[in-house]
Amino acid sequence: MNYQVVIGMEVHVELHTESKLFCSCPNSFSSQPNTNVCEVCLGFPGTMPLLNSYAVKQALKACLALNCEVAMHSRFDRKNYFYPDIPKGYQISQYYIPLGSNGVMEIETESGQKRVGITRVHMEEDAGKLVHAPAGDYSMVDYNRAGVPLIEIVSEPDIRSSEEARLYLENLKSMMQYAGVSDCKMEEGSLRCDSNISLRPMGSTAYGSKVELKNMNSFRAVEKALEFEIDRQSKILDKGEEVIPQTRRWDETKEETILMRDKLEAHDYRCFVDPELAPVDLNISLIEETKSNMPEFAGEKIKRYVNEYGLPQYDAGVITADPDLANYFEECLQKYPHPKNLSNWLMGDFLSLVNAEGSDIKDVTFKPNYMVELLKLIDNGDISGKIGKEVLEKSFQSGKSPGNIVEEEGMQQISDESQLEEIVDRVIEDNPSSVNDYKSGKKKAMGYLVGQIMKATSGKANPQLVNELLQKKLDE
Amino acid sequence: MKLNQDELDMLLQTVKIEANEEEATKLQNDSIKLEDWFASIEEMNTEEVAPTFYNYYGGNVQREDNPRVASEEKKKKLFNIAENFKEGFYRVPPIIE
Amino acid sequence: MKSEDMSIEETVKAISNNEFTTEEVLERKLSRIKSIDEQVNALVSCNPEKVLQNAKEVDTKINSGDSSALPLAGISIACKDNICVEGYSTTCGSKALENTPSPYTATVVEKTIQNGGVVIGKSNLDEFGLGSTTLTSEYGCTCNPLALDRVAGDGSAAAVASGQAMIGIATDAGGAVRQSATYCGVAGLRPTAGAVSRYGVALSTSSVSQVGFISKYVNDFNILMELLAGFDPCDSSTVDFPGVLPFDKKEKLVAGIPEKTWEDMDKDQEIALQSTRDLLNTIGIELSSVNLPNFKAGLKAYYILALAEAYSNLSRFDGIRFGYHYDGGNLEDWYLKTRGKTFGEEAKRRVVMGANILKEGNFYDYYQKALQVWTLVKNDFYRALKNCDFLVLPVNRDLPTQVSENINFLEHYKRDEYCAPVSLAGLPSISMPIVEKDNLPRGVQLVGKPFQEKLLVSIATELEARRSYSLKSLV
Repeated sequence: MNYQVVIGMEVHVELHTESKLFCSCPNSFSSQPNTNVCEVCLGFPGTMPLLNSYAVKQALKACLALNCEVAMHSRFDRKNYFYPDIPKGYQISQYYIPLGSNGVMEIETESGQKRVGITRVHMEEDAGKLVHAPAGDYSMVDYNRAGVPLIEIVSEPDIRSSEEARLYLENLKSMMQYAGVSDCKMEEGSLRCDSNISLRPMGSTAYGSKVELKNMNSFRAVEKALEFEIDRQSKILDKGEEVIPQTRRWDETKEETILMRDKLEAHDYRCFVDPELAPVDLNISLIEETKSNMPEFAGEKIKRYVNEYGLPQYDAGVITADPDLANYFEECLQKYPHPKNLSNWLMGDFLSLVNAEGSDIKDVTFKPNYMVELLKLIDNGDISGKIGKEVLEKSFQSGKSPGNIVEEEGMQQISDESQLEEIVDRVIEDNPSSVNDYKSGKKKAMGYLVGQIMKATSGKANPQLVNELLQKKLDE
Repeated sequence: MKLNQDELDMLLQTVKIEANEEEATKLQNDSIKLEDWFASIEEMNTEEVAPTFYNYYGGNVQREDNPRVASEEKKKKLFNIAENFKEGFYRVPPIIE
Repeated sequence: MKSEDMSIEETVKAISNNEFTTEEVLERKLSRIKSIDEQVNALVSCNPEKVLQNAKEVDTKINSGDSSALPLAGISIACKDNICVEGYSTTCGSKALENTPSPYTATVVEKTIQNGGVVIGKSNLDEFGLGSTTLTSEYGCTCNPLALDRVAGDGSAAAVASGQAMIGIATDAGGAVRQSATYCGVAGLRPTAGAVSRYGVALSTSSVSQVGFISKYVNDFNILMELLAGFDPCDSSTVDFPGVLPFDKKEKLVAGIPEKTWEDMDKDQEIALQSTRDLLNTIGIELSSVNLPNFKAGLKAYYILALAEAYSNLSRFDGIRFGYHYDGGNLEDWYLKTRGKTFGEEAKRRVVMGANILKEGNFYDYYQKALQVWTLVKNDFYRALKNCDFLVLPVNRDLPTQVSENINFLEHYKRDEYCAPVSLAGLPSISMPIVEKDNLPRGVQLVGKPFQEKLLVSIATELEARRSYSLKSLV
């Protein structure tokens, strides 16, 4: 039987700020435990939370990017529960009045555009981290992460497939990165995702039993976990049985979801307004300002690259997958008028070198002006494309400009016809068997001869001219 | 508001406090007293009355996003208070997640 | 005049005139503590070496420069033991925090020290500040220096009344500062909400607790507010204290007397009210009748909030980062026994009932209701104060409890009847004894408009000068 899949996503995103949400401890990764801590985020008696204004602005950006209605007047609430990673015995969150609500996100699926509703976006503080002793005789708490600013983004159950779920996450990540709100690296924990899934007969409006999925550590894992659940739940329903509402965790090695606990998290957190925090009052001018400073997101960029620059959809997709790469691309285009060529180089050799280095694009020494310089050298015939690749690699290693490298190492292309003719003649003389092969119909032999000419010129011969001259001589 | 044995047990679990039989009985009786005492509040008509959450706050009170690392001296004072602080971590009994 | 009977102003003046040094004053206080605190039990901890060292430092500063830069020179301060002072444990009157040296000092105490004040000791309180008697303190009950078989209400009030400290800095949620001051025959100030920083003060009732002051002389409050009130970047609930709000003595003032809504008040407390009304008349202050219809409901609403907040605010006491902990090898036991073994009966009761009130089924009937009643109570006060300059209210229901008396918890709650609604309103209040009966003080509280502490001090000073009250400490 065919079932309709009903999926909702709950994503936690760590905001990019300098300090934590309620104290001035640095909001940065530290390899040493309990270094970014103070009496406030450790919950010492007598301490009080102090709201980070920039975190509010970041959260506001996220709300606007997701087209939410923004609460002009929201508050913080206490979510009370005991766990060692919650220093105060409560988490400060926004339960009653979230900062953003009733939003929508558009995603591009294979079957066209799809709107996913956003129920709420709210601010809250993160918990610390638990580490377990290898022998299992104790656990350890590291409060570096306690108090880091988060936003929780809850979607409406509008998602209908595991693929849509993955696209939702990819789109969300892209938007948050473009907005500078978060780097959304699931592998580093700055984006965390839980999912709710239920199945119902096609055409039914009632919701089936909801299963909550946790412990998915990559977008691919989310997709696989949901796929597994769809399969598991379908089989149960096919038998005429009922799906039990439960919380399940994804096991990456076994590639299956495993029961964590029956019944969903129906914990009564006894939320009430935190009397130690002022309400968050937003004014229209801040909202208008934030809206007007909203960056162009990937979706709009792709459309623009395709329409204005004639880039293929695929290229546009790759370039815009990383906001830093898109910025790099656009900066180059200010001085270089050939988008397709540029995108080829970026998608190919440039990205390979960046990945090999393991850097972020914004940290790379081969800046856009170097790229423009390189491409112009090739376009002007100063160097060949092949040499250009070498120059790129050398520049990455040394940090020197392409122009300097070409000068210093004498890599200029040889385009002098008489010079080339000499070499062509010599190679023809030295390789009579290949020449005979060519003349007897083996066209491939020409390739060998071209190779020899290139070798003789250390690759600097203008390949076009070489082909022309060689062809002429062979045909004589 | 008044608690039977099960409800009290659940609450003690929620608030993570152990109570012996005597204490538990007392607490149950206390809950009855409080229910009676608070009854007049329950019965008050507060329709259309906006709740108050605090007596202060002229409006947004926020701080600039300037990070500040607590001094090593201060951190040492914080950690020395806990007997179970060892090798950089706060130790607790093993947790199975 | 003996240094024991001097006000802040007089003490500071005497020190700058070299009549005595800070060290000498503090030495006398220390010997006073030594000789009587066993009977009174006002202080949880006192470190004489530290006290003298700090006193010497003040003297050094005075000798090396401008003594007017230390307007609290020679002033000994008893800090309630839920106020963090570095180098001292902040026990909050509980077993849970017995050996918990504070890693930092509360802002209000920092300011006191910067101005030359010396912390003489940490004073006793009910466990976690949950009460106005000290009967639930892990460190024993504090006895009233005017009647040692009765409670003092608060350790700092007892310390001031018995000459162990000059000033007390304490907290007032349901009336601990105000009630204890009058019980012990001294004066107490609960400032306007937001006037004094609470950073470094472990609060069980965050919404309406305020840091308050206790002294023998009401005029001391002006100096304390001037120096210690004001915006603190560490406490986002604080505002700039407007300081001097103009008060022209020649202006005809009107005192609001609420219609009697307290039928079961002790007759002798009535005498204090009547006496106050008479004194105000002689000062030339007009009396006007006001109505506070939701006054009685205020007490119950206060307790609903207090219970709920106690549940949440005490959750951080889990023994993981500070305080006592029990390690039996599993996490559940750690929590249950760490808290179970150290929380006293009242603390357990408040936490359990607080969680009960906030439970899904009870939330709207109790907690949400209480928040709405809060609004009604506040509005009553603000409306009443439109037609008068301040209000005169009772402060204590009757005599301080006898130490040996075993009173039901609810009866204790009911004693906050006159103070809790004022807390909800967030208004400043000075409590002071006016008359004496059977060798015990009877007093009133003067409740003002926001930031009108100075006006209240002026009126209180007049009452202080004209009242018949004259009791002295028994020890």
